[in-house]
Amino acid sequence: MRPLAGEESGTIQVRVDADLEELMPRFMENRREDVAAFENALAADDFETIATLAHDLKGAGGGYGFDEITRIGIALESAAKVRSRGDIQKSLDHLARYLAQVEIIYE
Amino acid sequence: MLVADSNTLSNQAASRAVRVLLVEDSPDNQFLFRAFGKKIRCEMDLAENGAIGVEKFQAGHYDLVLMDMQMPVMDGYTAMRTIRDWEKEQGRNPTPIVALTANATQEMEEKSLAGGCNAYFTKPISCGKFLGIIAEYAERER
Repeated sequence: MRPLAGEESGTIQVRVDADLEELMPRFMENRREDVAAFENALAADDFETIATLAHDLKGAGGGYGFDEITRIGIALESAAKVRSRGDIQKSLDHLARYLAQVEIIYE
Repeated sequence: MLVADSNTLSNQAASRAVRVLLVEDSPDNQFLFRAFGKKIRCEMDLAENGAIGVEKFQAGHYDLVLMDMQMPVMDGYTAMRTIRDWEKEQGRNPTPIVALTANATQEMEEKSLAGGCNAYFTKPISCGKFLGIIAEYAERER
């Protein structure tokens, strides 16, 4: 097995308002459920559901301190509009990888 | 002498909490905005779609309505117009309505402003921005 290189190894630290700490387990759990919901919708060619999920991702991520999640939401929404399966899958892989790497620092 | 709550982060010497109606279908944003509101003296009622938002608006009394645009059952644009029509019928002064949307298009902004909202902001909304919106747009009785 090849070792992971570059951004695929290590963690990504994100600074989050300490007042949001109690909300974070639910927020992160919802994002992991999003990944599964996106995958199911993609398997069913349900681009409308993908666009709706992406819209919510875009609208919430940055408010919690995750600008990257908002960026992924924007990419997914654009890809859903043009029904680009390849771009959707690429963004979903990016989201799953990001969620696995993220480490929250409360301040 | 009555002393205002010294813990408040708001620099306004309001005699009571600001009353906000949040019309928003995303649970993530509902929890987030509620947490932001706890930083000031803010009573927040929640409606998860435009139809419930209109009902709550008519039954309550608010200093500010925060309105998501894309929602199931009744969207924010329709809810806003319904509220404005109802206020006219009732001879009431318009309550400030601020549109919050993740759709950052010029067309949506123009449509929202034409529909009767006082301002339009793009989500995601940070805590600082959220508190700034409340400070700027909530009309408190003095």
